[in-house]
Order: sequence, then C-alpha cells, then structure tokens
Amino acid sequence: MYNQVKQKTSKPKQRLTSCDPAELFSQLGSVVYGYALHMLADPGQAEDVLGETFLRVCSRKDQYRGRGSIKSWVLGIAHRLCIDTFRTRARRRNPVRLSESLASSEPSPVNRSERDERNRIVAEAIEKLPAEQKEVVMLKVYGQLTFREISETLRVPLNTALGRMHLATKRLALDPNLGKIGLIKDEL
Amino acid sequence: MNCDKTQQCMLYLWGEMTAGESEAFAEHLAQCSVCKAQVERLGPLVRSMQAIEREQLPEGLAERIRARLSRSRREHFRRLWITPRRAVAVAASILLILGLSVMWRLMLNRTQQLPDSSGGQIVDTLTEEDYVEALALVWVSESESSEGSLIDAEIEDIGAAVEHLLQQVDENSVPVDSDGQPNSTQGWYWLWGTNV
Repeated sequence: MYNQVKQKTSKPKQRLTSCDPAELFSQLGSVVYGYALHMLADPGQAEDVLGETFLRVCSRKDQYRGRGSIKSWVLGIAHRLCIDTFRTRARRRNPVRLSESLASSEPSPVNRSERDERNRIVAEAIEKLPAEQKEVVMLKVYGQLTFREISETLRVPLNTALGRMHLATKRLALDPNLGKIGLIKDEL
Repeated sequence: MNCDKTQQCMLYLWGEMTAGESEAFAEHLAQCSVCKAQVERLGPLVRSMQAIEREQLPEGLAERIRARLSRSRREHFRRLWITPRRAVAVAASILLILGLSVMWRLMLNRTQQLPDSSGGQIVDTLTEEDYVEALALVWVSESESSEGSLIDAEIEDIGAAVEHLLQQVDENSVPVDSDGQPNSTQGWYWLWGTNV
C-alpha cells in the first residue's frame, strides 16, 4: 500500500524558471485562481486576486531574489492579497461561505457529478479548519505547493508547516461527512 | 503512545521524500505502530485531496487578465522612461544647449563687429574688459599687415601683447589730460581710430 501511495503522489514536477508574467500566468493562472476561489469562496473576488497577483508579479519581478521557488513567490503574493480581501470583507461585515457560493452558482452537469460532489464535501470540511491549518491545506491542495514551498510562502519553518498539515489532516479525518463518502477508514 | 516522526508521515503520504528517505521511512513504519496507523488512516484522505482537480479558469478570464497584463506592461515601460527626475534633466539639458548656442552666437557677432567700429555706438556698449580683448584683435590684424615680425614671434600671452601695444601707443603720443596723464578714454578711442 505504501508503494501505491508513493507511486500516486510522485508526479513529475515542472520547475518554473522564467519570471515572465505572461508565461507564469499560463502555468500558474489556474492554480492561483483555484487557491483564491477556495480561500475567498467568491468567484468575483478570486478573479480580482488573480488579476492583481499577476499585475504585482509584473511590477515586482525584479524583486524576486530566487531564494524560494517562483511558484511559492507567486502564491505568496496571492495569499497576502487573499488575507487583505478577508480584512476588507471583515470591515464590511459581509462574509461569504463557500457552500453558499457554490449553492448560488449555476448547477452544471459537471457540478452534479459524483467527483465534484466529493470535492465540494472536502472543500466544506477544509473550510471548517482553524485558520492556520486551513491556509496550509489550501496551499497544499489548491495551490499545489510542496511543504517546503508552503513554508517559504507562509514564512514559517518546514516542521511548522508539516505539523499544521498533520493536525489538519487528523481533524479532517474526524469529519463525519468525509466518513460518509468513504474517505476515512474506521479508526484502527 | 507517541513517535517523533509522525510529522514525516505527511512528507511520505504526499510523496515529497527522496527515494532514500522513503525507503528509510518504510522501514520505520514496519517497526512503529503509531506512524503505521497514521499512514493507513490518513492515506485515503490524502489521496482524495490529491485527486482534487485543478480549478479551471472561467471562460474569457484568461484573455481579460492577459489584456490587463499587456496594458500594464506598456504603462510600466512608459513610467520607466518618463520619470519626473528625467523630465527635469531633459528640460535642463535643452535649456543649457539653447543658452550655450545663444551665447556662442552673441560672441560670434561681437567679434565680427569689433574691428569695424566706425562709430561710437558699439564702443559705448563695451566694457573695459572688452576693450582689452578688442585691442588684442586689432593689434593682431594690424600687425599681420604692417609688422609681420610680431606674428612671427608668436606671442601667446595676450596680456604681454596688450602691454606691447600700449608701449607703441605711448611712443605715438597718446592723448593726454590737462595734468599730463594719458587720457585713457580718448586713448582707447584713438586706438580705435574714432573721433571723440
């Protein structure tokens, strides 16, 4: 089983080396959008974050020192923009929840599929996590970063990122909705 | 029961260990029931999170963002070229060039007018410094025609040349004041060949 896990997870990773905003957008646009969409649960705001992220990449590309990966640098910009959006939203006292956002969106044949239903349940479970754990899971699942990149993005030690992910995964494993769809094995 | 390697389960489950690390951790799992239980319990959930597909961009969004990026890049380059400091520097350079060309033009006109001082109008506007300069020019032009030897001497020091000229003036009875001192103003005019 362990080998199975290893095989499934060790996809060849494309290393980004160019700092050209247009090229970065081609490669990371959907990742940034997915991350912002799940962080903010608002397609309009996710679109704003996406646009602003790459505008900042465009204007600040000289500031990239190559300390971390380009991907973690870009996701770091998106992450901070999401945090800013959260703060603005908190000031306006206008919270939007992912489940409401998904419910209000037009149902499509794809949305109705079993896979998307499963994704929606996982997304809702992630949404209930404490903020620090949630951002690590979001960066991992929707930002598709490695743990090292997450630690660079959040500017925390690698073990802290690993610890938060471990706690988050254990917490998710207790979610009854995830148990219902067969994602959690009964406790040994 | 605890194990200090439980956090490593995440690296293992998400496939972020090197081949060597993965092998070593698999050996650890065979001996550690805590880590083994974590991997078995959390494995399906991790796999399900890995299977979540990348979000697709809504239709037209990529084009809108690309258009914004392209606009912003053009503006960025424009901003890079026309900064306030650069604008001031360019304006100052233009003024300096204009000023120098006007000065050059004036100087050129003056040197052309000085030898041809047929009246007192030009003389009235000149300062004493100008006279010295003009004297030197007159002296050089005259000496070219009558006293070629002076030119041959190649006197570089203009002050010495003026001194030499003044000596000549003295010898040729420079106009004097009532007290017997040379009348400098009249002397200059005399030198210029103008009537006072």
